[in-house]
Amino acid sequence: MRTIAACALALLLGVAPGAGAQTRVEASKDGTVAVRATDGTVRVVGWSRGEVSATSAPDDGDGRVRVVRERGATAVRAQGQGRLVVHVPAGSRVVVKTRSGDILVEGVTGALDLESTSGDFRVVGTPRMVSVEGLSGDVDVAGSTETLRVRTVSGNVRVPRARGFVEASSVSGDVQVTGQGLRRATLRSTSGRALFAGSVPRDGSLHLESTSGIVELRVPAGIAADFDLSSLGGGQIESALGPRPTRQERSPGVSTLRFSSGPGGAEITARTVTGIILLKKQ
Amino acid sequence: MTSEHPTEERLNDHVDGLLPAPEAAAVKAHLAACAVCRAEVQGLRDLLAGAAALPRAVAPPAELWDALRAATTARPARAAWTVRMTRRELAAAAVLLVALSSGITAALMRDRGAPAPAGVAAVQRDAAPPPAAWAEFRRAEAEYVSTADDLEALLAGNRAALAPETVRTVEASLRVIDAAIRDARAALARDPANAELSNVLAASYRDKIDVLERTLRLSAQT
Repeated sequence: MRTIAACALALLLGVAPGAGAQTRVEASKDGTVAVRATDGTVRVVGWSRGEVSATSAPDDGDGRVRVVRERGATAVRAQGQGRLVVHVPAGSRVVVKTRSGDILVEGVTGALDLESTSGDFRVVGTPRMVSVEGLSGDVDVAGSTETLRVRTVSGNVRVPRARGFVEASSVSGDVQVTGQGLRRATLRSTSGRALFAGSVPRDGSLHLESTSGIVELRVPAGIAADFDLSSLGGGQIESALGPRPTRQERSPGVSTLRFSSGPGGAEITARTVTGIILLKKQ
Repeated sequence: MTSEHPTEERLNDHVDGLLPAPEAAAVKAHLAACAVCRAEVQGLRDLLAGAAALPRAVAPPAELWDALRAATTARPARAAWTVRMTRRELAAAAVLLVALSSGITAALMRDRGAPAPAGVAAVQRDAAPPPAAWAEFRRAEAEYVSTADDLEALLAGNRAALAPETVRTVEASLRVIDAAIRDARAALARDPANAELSNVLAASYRDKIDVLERTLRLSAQT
């Protein structure tokens, strides 16, 4: 599994002016831009101009980029192994689909729908909402968005400034989310680590789940929350807050920890089957 | 089929209306006979349709993502297997959701004292589910296994369209999910009335179907 490195990716995706074919069309400031690249890496940058500009920098000279207006949207298509940089009006809604390339989006405030089979993803800025779907790439949502959905198979997911609604899952990768203003979040990893660090508002809810991996919660000691942690198939619960976990007599292998912290409020649940649940003070 | 497959560039040109009339006619004739290229052209067109379906306003994710997914996955992919797969997946998902997440759980919670199936009785007889619930469970599981087997067979036929690294990744992940299913199922056998376990098991099933479906969809795009 590759590890995304922001600086390296930015350098990788950087395209020198005049390095390859460039094309541009006028576009509305909150219109739709759809980017499809076969194998190349894609960098999408929001700007203040009312136009879409695409620049390709092919490695071997056979790359090709096209920007067309189609059915009220702007389509950008690139072929070959080249690196593609697409400037879009900052308020655009953007769809990017690539086969194997990395995708970097920065400075876009509209909705994002990103898909790559094996590339890494990085989102910077404050998009209205983000959907990421991949197989093996890592996902780094460094920006802040009100609604986030990430699904990857083996990639790691990292969301350092989560808020609003979050759904993030990985089969074997780690899902690590940090934030203060979650309204509703579900973090799942089948065999990896599902980690949340931060606080949840009293009217918020958070669910973490890992079948055989590690569920880790790091919250302030005085958080106003109702905790409901369960290990369902022989796993463990270790908590620095609340009472000791209890084992159910009628259900061997099941242990639970339910308690309210402070006046209660936020619903925080965690589940594992054979893994470990760790509740820690932040 | 009337000719060799047009290149992606020519298909792009066709979608964009940039081909001269004779060439456009040739591509059109090919498309009439070639489901693979038709699907490719449809994919190009639907990329924009999917983009246009992206919502402009923030909304609770359940409604939002359902709408988004419906809009972006409604497009046909490469060949007939997609239709069959989707139908079966939907059927399996519906059965699993009903049977595992609510039906079985409700039945188990209602009737804890009924006789248990053989494999469960030795573990915890007093919490065993009623036979009807287990029959429904087995039917749901059989449907799931059948669907997953079909998808895995399709994926095996599409391996060449995926990078070896991707194939390894997917296969490793499927093994992880299979292990999770085994864990959850073993735990459910020990504690058959546990609603949360049935939810975990159902989620693992859905994960496997989802990984297979996504991999097939992505392989169809390559």
